[in-house]
Amino acid sequence: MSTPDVNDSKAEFLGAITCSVTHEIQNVLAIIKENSGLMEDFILMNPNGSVPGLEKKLAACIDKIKKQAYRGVGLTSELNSFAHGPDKTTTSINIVELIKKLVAVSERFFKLKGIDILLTVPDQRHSITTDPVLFQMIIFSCINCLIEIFKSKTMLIDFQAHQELPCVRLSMENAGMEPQVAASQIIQTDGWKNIQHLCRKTNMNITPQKQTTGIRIFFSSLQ
Amino acid sequence: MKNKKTRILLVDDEIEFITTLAERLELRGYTVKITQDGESGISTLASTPFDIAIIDLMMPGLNGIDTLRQIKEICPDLPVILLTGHGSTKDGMEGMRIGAFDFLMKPLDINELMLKIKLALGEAPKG
Repeated sequence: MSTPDVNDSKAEFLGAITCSVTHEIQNVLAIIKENSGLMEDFILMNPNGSVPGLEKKLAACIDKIKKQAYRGVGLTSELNSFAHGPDKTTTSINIVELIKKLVAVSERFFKLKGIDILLTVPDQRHSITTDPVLFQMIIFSCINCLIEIFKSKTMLIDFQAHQELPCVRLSMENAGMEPQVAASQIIQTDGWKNIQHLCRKTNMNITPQKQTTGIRIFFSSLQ
Repeated sequence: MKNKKTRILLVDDEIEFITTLAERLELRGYTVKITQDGESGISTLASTPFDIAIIDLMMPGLNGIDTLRQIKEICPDLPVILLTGHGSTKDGMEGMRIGAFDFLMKPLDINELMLKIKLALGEAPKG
């Protein structure tokens, strides 16, 4: 398999995330529209005050609209922050913050595949100088690579030290496979060669784990 | 109000969306049952008769297209209206190719949905 052009892969990645988040925003707007419509229904049905408990019903609709407005604000803020990723192709990034942002915007994308992502956030800050979009793409591709192989529904992401350098570990909970077998399956996937290609471009090394079923990414240069 | 209530099955994982839509349809005289995923929608249809199903395309687990395929196997004559939050009509058209009556984009227009339901049930003149 030849490795695809990095810019094409970037565009595909940004498109997949944008599509997923805007789809969720459509759902938010649909809920707001239905609740405002329901309020209208109640008012039109109530010319003589005949709908029992009208105030309570209207208040329930208003609560739902408010809740969705907050959800919409959260989604657009996350998408806006994500969309600023390509502003600089090389910059100092806090890897923990960047992964947190990625998990936030890709939550529904992976939920549609039946996957929950559990992120364990460390106390200390880990910064590297790299391309932030490529970095997020690598994590995203690794998650896709793992869920293609394993039946598990939970992806764990945490941070470990590797030869005194920080390292991101992605693993599947109860993957139902021996780590050695899993490692050989990971490197046979279509996405693996591309992930390795991206890692070389961003000063990262990647390896299937030997102790648990998953992937470990460690950084060869830190800021 | 109708004499014999039309039975609608609504399938969507957005619970606040379907509960509100169900309430609006009930105010218009329909009997509505909701389920939050394709699998439970199919098992509900296998055990309970419905006149029409309204199904979201993007759901965790069984997606709307696969749900539609399975529904067409167990209830080939049941009219199905698909809902999509996508900006394009591609998935909706794909659904119609495999037997959906029609599709609507989210956010919905309740009057448009009512018209589609009536058309699907042969209660409104076409055109």
